[in-house]
Amino acid sequence: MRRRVLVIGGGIAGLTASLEAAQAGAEVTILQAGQGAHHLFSGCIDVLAYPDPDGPAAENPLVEIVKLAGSRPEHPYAKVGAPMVREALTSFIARLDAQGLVYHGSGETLRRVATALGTIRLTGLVPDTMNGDPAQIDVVCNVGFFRNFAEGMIAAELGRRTSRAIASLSYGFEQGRRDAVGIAGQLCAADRCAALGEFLRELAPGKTVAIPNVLDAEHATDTKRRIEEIFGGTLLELPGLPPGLAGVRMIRALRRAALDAGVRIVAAARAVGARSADGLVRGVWVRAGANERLETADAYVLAAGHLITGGLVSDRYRLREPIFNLPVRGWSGGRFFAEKFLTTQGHPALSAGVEVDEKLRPLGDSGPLYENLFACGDILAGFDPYRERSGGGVALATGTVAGRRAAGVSA
Amino acid sequence: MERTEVVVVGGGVTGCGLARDLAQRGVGVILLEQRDLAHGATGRCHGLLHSGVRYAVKDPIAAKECIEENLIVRKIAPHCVEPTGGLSVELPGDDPTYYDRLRQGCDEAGIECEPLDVADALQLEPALNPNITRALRVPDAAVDPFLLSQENARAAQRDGAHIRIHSQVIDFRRAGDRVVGVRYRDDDGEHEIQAEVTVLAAGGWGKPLAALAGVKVGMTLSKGSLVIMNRRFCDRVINRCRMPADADLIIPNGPTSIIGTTSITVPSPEGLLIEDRELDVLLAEGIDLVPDFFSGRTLRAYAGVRPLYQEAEASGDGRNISRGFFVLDHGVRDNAPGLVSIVGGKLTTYRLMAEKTADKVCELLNVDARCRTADTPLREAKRTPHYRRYDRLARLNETPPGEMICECEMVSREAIRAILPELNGRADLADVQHRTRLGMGPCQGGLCSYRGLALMQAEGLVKPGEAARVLGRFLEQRFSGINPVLWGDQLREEALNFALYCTLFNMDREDRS
Amino acid sequence: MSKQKRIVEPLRPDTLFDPCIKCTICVTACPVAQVTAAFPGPKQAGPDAQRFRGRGEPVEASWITLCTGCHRCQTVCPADVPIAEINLFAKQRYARKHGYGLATQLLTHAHWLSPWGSRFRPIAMLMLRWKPARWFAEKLFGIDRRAPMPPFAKRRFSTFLKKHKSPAGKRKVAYFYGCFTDSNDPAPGHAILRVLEAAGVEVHIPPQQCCGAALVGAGHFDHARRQNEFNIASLKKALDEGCEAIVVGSPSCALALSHESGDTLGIDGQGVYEKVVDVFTYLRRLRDEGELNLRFKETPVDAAFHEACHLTALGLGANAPGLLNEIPGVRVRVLDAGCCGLAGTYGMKAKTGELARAIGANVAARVAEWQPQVVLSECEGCRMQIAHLTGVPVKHPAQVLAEALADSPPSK
Repeated sequence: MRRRVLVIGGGIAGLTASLEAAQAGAEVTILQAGQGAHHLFSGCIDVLAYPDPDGPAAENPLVEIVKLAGSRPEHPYAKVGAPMVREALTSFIARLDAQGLVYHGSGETLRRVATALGTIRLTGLVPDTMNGDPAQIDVVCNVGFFRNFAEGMIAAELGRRTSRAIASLSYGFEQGRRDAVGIAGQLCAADRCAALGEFLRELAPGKTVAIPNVLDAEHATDTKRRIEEIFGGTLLELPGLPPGLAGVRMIRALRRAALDAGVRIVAAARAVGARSADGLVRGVWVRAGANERLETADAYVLAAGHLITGGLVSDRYRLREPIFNLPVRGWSGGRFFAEKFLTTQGHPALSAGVEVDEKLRPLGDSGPLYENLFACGDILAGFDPYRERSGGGVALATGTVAGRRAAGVSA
Repeated sequence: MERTEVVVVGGGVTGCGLARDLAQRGVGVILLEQRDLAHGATGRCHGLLHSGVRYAVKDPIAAKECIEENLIVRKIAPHCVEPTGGLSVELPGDDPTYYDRLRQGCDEAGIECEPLDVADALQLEPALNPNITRALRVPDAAVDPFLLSQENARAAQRDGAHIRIHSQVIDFRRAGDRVVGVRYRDDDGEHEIQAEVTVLAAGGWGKPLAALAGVKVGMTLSKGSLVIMNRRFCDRVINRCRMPADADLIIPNGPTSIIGTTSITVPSPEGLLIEDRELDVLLAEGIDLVPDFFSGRTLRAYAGVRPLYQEAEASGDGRNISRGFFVLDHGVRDNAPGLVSIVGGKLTTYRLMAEKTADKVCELLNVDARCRTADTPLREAKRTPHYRRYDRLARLNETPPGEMICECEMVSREAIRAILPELNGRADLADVQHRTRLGMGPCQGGLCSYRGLALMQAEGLVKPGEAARVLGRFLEQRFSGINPVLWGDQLREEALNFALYCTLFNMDREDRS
Repeated sequence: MSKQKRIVEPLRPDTLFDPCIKCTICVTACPVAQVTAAFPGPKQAGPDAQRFRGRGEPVEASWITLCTGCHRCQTVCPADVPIAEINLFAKQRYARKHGYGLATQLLTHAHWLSPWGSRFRPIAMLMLRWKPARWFAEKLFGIDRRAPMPPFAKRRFSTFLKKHKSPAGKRKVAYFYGCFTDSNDPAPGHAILRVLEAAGVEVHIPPQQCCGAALVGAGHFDHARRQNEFNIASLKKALDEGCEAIVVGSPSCALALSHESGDTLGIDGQGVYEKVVDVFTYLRRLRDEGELNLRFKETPVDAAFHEACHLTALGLGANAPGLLNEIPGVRVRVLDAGCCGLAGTYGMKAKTGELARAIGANVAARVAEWQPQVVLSECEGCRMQIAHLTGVPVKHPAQVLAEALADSPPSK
């Protein structure tokens, strides 16, 4: 009988762990309460931009990751090692490519992505629709009355020295929804798509045009190509307010890869507790509606995310891991957030999480608590993915290791 | 040099009400407010339109004043008032004699006070503590202090007054002993106004301002902290049937519930902090009234200062109108003619305070005009309905998806465009918030700050390179009220907002100077 | 809730929206938001609007009735906000003010009408397929003339069950078959019986009424509550008499019985809710315990599986493809193309029929692309809609399982 692996969480970390476990021959089930938090992020894979809160951006993230082994051994990257990060990034690109979604970049450089605020964010891997140098943007063009895209502001903020042209295509979009979902849907229609292409051909033939994150979750690549064919230039999507459709695309592609690999995905199922005996997890309590049932497996991967998705919960004074009651480390108590909201230092609660050994098994006071439980992704202690811009890379690298370990193979 | 008849210093509800009254009487007024209207105690109170029940036992004159003004405010500003009604509920352990004394006091003050069966009270308000022993129905109501101040200011403007926000008085002009105007600072620099009468309606700032004018006004500043919950627990104002104390008042405010308050003496109206011990009191006592209260989502906390006037030495011509508020003629009292202060009081009686102050000002100006504010609606519409939550919900009927700027509080592009002229060319999201409720819902500006900023930028209010600063300032302002009660669902919200503004928009690393 | 003297609007929906952190993922999952600007989307219709639904205050415009009740919003929410449930309460509030409309009244009482359709089958089938009759029905009753209509059973499943005794087995389950299997299409019911009995499971048929899924979906709680109070009591008795699970053929019935009865209708489940499972979850359990001893013959079937929205919402997973793919010759691929759009009665109403077809366009396109021999779904609504939109034969997955049993006659 195949080894059964239960993965709690269907975000990037959980899906990666499940893919690795399935590839290693295990029978894998994902339990997910929601669908992750990918749509809140840019759709890029952040590897590591700011290792030091007071320092500059990393020039070569992988080199900084190597240093972490010495300077910050509690960091998840230090637990899995730089070669694993490199491997995980490569696998990610290959997996998504197989699903028709192209990603660019590597762990060795930071890529610059302009945002809908006109700021520049630094990241590792970028989707094809965001692949381009912000300095090359000639025109900032809004579509369909989209309120989450201030083209004038973006043009002004981006080009303090050089000004950029701004444009907006609303004609023909009056009847549709004016949110990301609605505009993306309208752009799927051949006539709307062509209308944008023709508009840009009049306005900026052959140029680089920044548009909002409104390319549809299923057809982004096609739509982009068709528009670019018409106006002969390059479209560059800028990430902005949620829903981040680029993130939705990414998670759907990973999800399809998992389904193709035979992973069983159980949605609307929140893990709320666990049963254990003799140093092994024996089962996980799952709530659906108001009903609870026990799901059992041979090995378990905790990839439930952090505060946003409920992997960690809080009350006035405490942070808790609610499923296995694992000790929460990386936070020394006191306030959850710093005095000021916008700080390069990050916020204390966001570094909190579950501490693991090099096999990614959660630690108690005297070693790993369970032989068959592994943790990966944002739930891990010892790093602040928000401040560092490292969430995606950690999810991929630790998801890989956790999935393999859970399947009973070495990483 | 600018000249006017009256300068009103302070844009709280009293100052705005005074500007409205004077302007209606044909007096030329310039109102100067250091920040935005209702920045001080007005915008930090509980939002209660007192029935007077809380004074019925210890201060019957104040109680009578309250109920009279309560009825007047409902009449002249129905859209600022939700006629929720109120309950006064007795819990086991409360002084049982208070109930009867309360009923008697209400009778004497003319406050409608009707006993209610406990079963009926619990049916009306199922969230109440089921152990309440007795209940009374009282005519409390909920009021929107921001809107009330703004509507008074708008009415004043229609009658020719000038309302200037972000204009801080930094000195007084003197001609000998006489106060003949002010010097103030705004974004464009320093300016002077010559005025025949200068009125200090500046709440807690009245004391330092008076000192600047060489005049002593004794005041105790009593800080009160309050906590806002994300949802309604009760549709009525809930009082506790005992001598008023800390944390015994829960008031519905639009879609939220507010519990308050505490009282701690502080030296200044600036730099107010919410202390953990205040939260402890609010949390502990709030659940006496509504047991599930803190199972809900804490949204934010805020603190305001009650400027309690102390009749110092001589009462003299302090014009002691009521034990609640005082109009001080500094010409008589302090040999500083041309300066008047209005001190003390409460939001509910703002109109009366403004009336008495305007009477004094007109006396000093030799203007013979009577107050008509009790009979003139603030809004010139045929029928202005009372505040209802439905009116926000109804916006979803008319607004296509994507046209809402703030989805939490149902604020459309139209609504924001309509008030942008009142910002006087200044890009300040907090000013938008005060006028529309943008950013006051569960996401606390997470999603709508960007959109509000984008709208302002499209209207030309945001200079190039300024966007991050304007946005950052608003986010920090929102956060300062969230941080004291940051746990549970709101902690998750702030994690999301941090993901958005730092991780995605990179604002932690942007120059926001 | 205790008996009230006056009508007090329920507090429950007001306690549900606090966890919403406005992440908007629900909007990306909503099939209605994909196709129309008339519906604000689950976030705005649900947790956002609920803060402004005051007791005794006016009711919003009809956009709330555009929610299909598919539960996809709730399924993807990272905070477990029961958005679909908030919307159900809002629909009830709307219906209390504005009534339900004739079309909804008729369609949600199909459990009264269908048995007559079965009894007078030839006429009923004619009426549902004859264009002039459909045209009239649209004008008079508001039932979309282009919507799929169900078949009627030649013999009601309940009639058959009266004479059927399940062989004794060491495991016993209660089987809730649902109105559609009873009066419209009993074939899945027969298949489920066959499969369970072949696995050595003794199948009890407790007395049962319509689960009220359509009624709840329209905001008609009181009627559904009465029916489910009966059902819960009956199912509890079955459990007390040794049934280890309540197997439900249709996911919408299972959702109404095990989620909506408790959360929304406020019925004390007395231990029933945890025992409700769909057929394939039960079979999977048997398999995991090594107790699923079924023998199959080679059965070449190229099938596409459509996971019904309500099956997902049950939180038990879609277990049919995994089990079916173990049968020699069977290939089941998961469509994963979104909602079919019918949403029970939603797609049959003239008011929302067009939207339903627009929603199902993705599924139709993928079926057209893959050209499977048959499309499988546990949900009768999905089956009707997919057959209607694509012309491809449809079956309940249990039917494939039953046909593949070693001692089954060769299937057509």
